[in-house]
Amino acid sequence: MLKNLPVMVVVFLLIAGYMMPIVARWDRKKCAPLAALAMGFGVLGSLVLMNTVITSGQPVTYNLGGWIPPWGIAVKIDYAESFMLVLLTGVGAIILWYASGDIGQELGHKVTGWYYTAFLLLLAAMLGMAMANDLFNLYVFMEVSGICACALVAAKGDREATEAALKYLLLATIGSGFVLFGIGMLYMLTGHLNVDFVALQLRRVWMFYPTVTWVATSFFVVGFAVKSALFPLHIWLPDAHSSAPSPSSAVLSGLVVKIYAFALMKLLYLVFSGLFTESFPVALAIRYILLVFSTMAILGGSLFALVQVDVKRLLAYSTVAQMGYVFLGIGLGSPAGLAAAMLHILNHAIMKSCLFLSAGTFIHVAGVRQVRDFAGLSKTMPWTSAAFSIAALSMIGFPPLAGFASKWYLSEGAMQSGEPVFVVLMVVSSFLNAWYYLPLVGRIYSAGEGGAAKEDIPLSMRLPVVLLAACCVVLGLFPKIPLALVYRAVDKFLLK
Amino acid sequence: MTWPLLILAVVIPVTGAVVIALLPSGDDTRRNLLAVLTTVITAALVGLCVQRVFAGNEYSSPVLYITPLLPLALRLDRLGALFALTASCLWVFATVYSTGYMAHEHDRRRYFTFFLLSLAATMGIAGAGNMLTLYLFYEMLTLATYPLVIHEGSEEAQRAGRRYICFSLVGAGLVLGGLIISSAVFGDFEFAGSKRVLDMAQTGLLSCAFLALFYGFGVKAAIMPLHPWLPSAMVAPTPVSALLHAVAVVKSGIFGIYRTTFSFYGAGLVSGLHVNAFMLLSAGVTVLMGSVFALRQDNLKRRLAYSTISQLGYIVLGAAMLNRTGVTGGLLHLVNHALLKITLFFAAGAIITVTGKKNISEMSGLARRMPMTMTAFGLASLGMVGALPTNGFLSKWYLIQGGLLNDAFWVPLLLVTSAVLNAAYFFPIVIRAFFSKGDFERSEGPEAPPSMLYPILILCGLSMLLGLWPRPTLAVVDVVASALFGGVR
Repeated sequence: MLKNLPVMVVVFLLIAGYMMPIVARWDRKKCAPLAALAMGFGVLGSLVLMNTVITSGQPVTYNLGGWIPPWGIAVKIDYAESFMLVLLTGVGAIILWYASGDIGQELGHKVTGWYYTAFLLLLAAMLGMAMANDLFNLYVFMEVSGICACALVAAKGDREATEAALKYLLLATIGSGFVLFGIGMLYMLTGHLNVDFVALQLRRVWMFYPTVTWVATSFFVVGFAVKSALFPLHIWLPDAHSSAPSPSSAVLSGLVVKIYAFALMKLLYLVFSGLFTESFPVALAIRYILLVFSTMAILGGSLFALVQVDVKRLLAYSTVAQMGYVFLGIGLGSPAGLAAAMLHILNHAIMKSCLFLSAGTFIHVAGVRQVRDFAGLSKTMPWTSAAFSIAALSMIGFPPLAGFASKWYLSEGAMQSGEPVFVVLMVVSSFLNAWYYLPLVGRIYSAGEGGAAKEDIPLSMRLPVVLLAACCVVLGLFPKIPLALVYRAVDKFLLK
Repeated sequence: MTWPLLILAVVIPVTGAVVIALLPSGDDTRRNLLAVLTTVITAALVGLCVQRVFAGNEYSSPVLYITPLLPLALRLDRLGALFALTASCLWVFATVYSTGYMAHEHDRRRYFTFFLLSLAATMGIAGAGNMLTLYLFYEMLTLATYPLVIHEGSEEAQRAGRRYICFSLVGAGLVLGGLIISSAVFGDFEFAGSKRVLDMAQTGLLSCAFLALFYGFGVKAAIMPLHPWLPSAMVAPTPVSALLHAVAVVKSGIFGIYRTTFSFYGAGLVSGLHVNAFMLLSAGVTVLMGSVFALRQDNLKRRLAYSTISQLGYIVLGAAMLNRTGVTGGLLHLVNHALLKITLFFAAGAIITVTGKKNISEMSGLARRMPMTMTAFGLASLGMVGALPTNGFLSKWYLIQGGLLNDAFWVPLLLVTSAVLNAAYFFPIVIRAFFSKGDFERSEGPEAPPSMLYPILILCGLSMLLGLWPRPTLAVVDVVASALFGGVR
């Protein structure tokens, strides 16, 4: 059982996902418990895997069908992967919990079953991406997750959502195309698809084919940058994330864009290790492009967010800015910088899910979507408002909330790389965040109508949000818990 | 194991605040009692700690690493003890005064909750054992005082609150940036000022970081041109203006500057960076322009606010001189100004409560109605001007000495000019109140509610006492100053 656990986690979610429409036909009410069961198994499995990795100090590997690499497909879970697994399943489970209360109301009961299908498949695909140690396997899961993510956006079925989903589908496909080209080139160079073998072989052969190697690197960077919405390539994100149902927005903003950034980090530092981390002119150029684009993302995303009147669009643009942080960490490449990128993947997943879910409650229970109508919400829904405010303050980076730790580590990473200018960027970005989040919080707590709550908020929509806000506080007070794991992962990335 | 006392000084006000928040909002008697009791206990605790600190013990808690890079610690040294003692004692008076002043205001529960939370944050700032902890509590102070500033709830209060939060955030951002850079250069957050050595390669970076820290804390210390939040924040209830904007918040900024300059960087390093020209210039401009602006104000609280800005300039000036005499003068003024300014604000608040008058032009003959309050006001103004027997004189004397030690002959000139300006905006108020004819009548009963009158009289008496018998403060401040310069006598 334990030996097969990595695959079981994914397969269980896949099976549960495919069963959902059937179960929904039989009895709609059974969908949520079954999905919860699958997710619960996922969380438990991930925790067990993380525990195994930490206690043994060795990566957990599994060869599909017993074929050893380089012939078979391999799955490998190391510190970084187990971190991602726990993050994906944990936050995913909380979002699913919220969805169980929200989806029926927001989408109508007809699509409930299918929604769960897309949700569980997406989670399974992301878990697969996190643990895949095989480039083609990675690509397959990437496509699955791309299609499921589009389905989650399109689930609403209105004109706006369909248009956004189509736009998302097109750009995501372009991104996948770039990645596929990159994989093809690596296969051509090394004759392998297994990550370990590619890395090993690449170090031997790359100097004979420098152009192809660097083109492959650039293709990966561009492909994953489109998928995870790095600034100038972000145009699909605001539409997709704002027109989707709230749980979808949370999972898209919180998890989906992160897994691509994580995959890029893994590729750059594990497959191209010894190339990307050295001071070759091209490597430096790519690194500076990442730094420049992430700077633009941090500033541009925030500036766009400033002028939004729709709360979900505001949150979506904020995601663009926050992805800039992750890419900044990847670009900096210093230990603290990489640690900050990983930490921010976690922190932002929690903060942004909390924000999207509580915004979802505001929209669907109080019926307010425009920021200017938020006045007085604290009176009608104190818990949700408090959770929203905590997550917003955490976004700004108030100590001692989660966002503060990631900003601090990013700044530390900038200092380690000898680039103090990014410390200034962090400070400026905090101002910009404060500029659009504080008025929001202020408005919630000011006197006003608050779009008098139409009905009581179900517990399943209130508790997940509060739980996520509590996580913001706990992770802010004890960032050393994730950091202990993150630093071990970073040590592996940097070959220490 | 004496450090838990120090943590209690932060925890007790928080507990008090939580209990007050849980009490029913109509229960004024118990709330007032609880608030006063909390501050008294805190002050007593701080007094106990301070006494031991000056006896040579140090309070340091074990370091709590929230991550390996981010250590939090509480430690009370002499500078912190001075600040903690001043703030916690004045908080007792302010709370007593608030119970009287707030009796007819709305939302009293919220007011006292945040009033005590601010005390906790201030104690945290005073007892911070490293720069990171200081920064943490500094941010919390901003958040805790914001609801007090906008207490009125009016459009004007909202605007003032927005301005306050904007300026504070800019300041906090500057502090954060400076802190990250300097901690990366130093490799720690410790108050190891006397041990720092200047590394020539890092001069530029450190100068920038230092100035960021200086101006970051300078926002709360209302250094010009970072001061505009202070006068507009005067819409807050008077005890808040008095305590937060003349004593706690602005003095936290000052305290941050002293900590940065002497504890974190060290006077030797700062003078090696050649940045104190900026400090001197900013402080000088603030001293003069604050007074000039104060001349034009008709609203009494606004005039006091500009006077605060100018007086804070003195304290920063003391730090900028980077010598022991100057620091002694600055710290003396920190204590003296706190006492005097809180008296003045309390008097202004009493005038507002009793007569409803906010503008100086309406105060002709006010002394007939409120003789004792106006006498206290007059004496405190004398202290502000720095007339001889009052406590304001001594701090200015030391500042002038400090300036002369640095061959800065403009310092005496500046201080004398400023004293003349102080006289020009304080004396007309007193003269108008005592000698002009107005339609105020002598009152039958007490001239103001006792919970407001007694704090005024006691504080005024205390400042006079410290003026006539300055030995104790001088001795304490001298010890603090010598500690800041590495204990060299």
